[in-house]
Amino acid sequence: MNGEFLLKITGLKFSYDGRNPVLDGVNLCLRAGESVAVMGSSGSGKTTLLKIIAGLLHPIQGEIQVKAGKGGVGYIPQQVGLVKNLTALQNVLLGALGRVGNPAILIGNFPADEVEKAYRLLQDLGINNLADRKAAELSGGERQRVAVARALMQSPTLLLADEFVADLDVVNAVDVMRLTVDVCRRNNVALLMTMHDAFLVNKFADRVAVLKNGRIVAEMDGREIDMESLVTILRGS
Amino acid sequence: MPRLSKGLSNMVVLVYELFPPSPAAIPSALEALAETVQMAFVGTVIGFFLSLPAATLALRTIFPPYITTVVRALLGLVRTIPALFWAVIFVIAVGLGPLAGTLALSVYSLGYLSKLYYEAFEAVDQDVLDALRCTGAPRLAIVRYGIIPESMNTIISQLLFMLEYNIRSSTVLGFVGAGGVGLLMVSYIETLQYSSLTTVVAMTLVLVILIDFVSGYVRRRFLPAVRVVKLKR
Repeated sequence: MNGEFLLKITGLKFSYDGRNPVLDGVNLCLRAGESVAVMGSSGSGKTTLLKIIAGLLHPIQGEIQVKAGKGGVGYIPQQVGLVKNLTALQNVLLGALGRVGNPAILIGNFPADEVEKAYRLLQDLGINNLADRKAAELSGGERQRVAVARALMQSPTLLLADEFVADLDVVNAVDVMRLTVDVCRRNNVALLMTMHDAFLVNKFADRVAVLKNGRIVAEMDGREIDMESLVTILRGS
Repeated sequence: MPRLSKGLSNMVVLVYELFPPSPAAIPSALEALAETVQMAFVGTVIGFFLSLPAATLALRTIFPPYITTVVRALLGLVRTIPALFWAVIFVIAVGLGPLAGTLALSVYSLGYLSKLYYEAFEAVDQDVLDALRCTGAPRLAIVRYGIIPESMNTIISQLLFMLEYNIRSSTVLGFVGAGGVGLLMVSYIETLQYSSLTTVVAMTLVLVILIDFVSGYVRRRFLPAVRVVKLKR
């Protein structure tokens, strides 16, 4: 990873109802190729933070600078968000929709190089044999991998992943995390993920930021975090 | 009381004149029913193809309020007018016959299918839409690849419902001159050929039952909300 800042958040504030702040002055930076985990209690604003960075919500105050490049910001929602009636390959190809401006796309005609890239991503994530399987027929771990492939298909410089392994068993979670982090590192894609599991953060994140009361209250090396220290931070005043 | 008792005796006379059904009316009834089914089918198909873009333009999750509000208001206006009244309008516009009936059913289908579809489209998982928005996909691509595939079961199910409904509706559109078996029924009533009327009504009933059966088969075969697996003993 290089030292250039890809994402810089300063004094970010957000509220859903205009009265109760969900985010109350968040400051966070991310470098190219870095993987950062945001941890916090349920309802602490982790998903909201990612949605604001993804441009799906607008902050009421604060500044976000994203050097996203042509590929923009990739986003993996909490519930994955695959189109159930499309195959794994078709879902991955959807990641190219923002870049392929040809009207033929509307009748399902994706260029050959995009289809090749989609197959390659499925292969990198170990599921090229499932390319023609409908998303509804995939297991949880397989769906997560397809979602990662779809997000990487748009060639982002920043990938946002919202608790994307939360519903998986430990073996699948470790596999999906390892593949995702490896692919991101190889392609110099920064990864910002929200997580609950300190074990996975310890194993795969370069850095961890703890969100509490709408602010980042602690930042440390990913290898320094464990469940006990996390609970101490979250319970502290 | 005197009117009621006279009415009852009139009913007895009517029932006596309705039966037995006249076999001579079968060829005319078959022709009229074929016309009815054609009207319903073509009207439903036209309405369906118009309803997809209309429902898309009514989507608050995709288009801004100044578009969706106008579209929804227009669709509401279309829905407010009953199919029979649309038939009267089109009979005045294009004359008597099945064209008026087909146009009436097209417009009526547009109004109802559009509403059913945009409500289904707005219920699509927000995570799917969020993920597609982040790819930079244009609006039409989000609809084409996200909303419509996710809603496909509903689209087909409501289309079948509309076809069944239109077949029933088209049997009465003929009462205002818009073609189909309704026109034949009116002519038999006006010429007091009640036994022929019975034949037409009975054949219409058979058609409706047949449509229900076919529709049920198509739903079970192609829309597996629940698959019933027969265990081998």
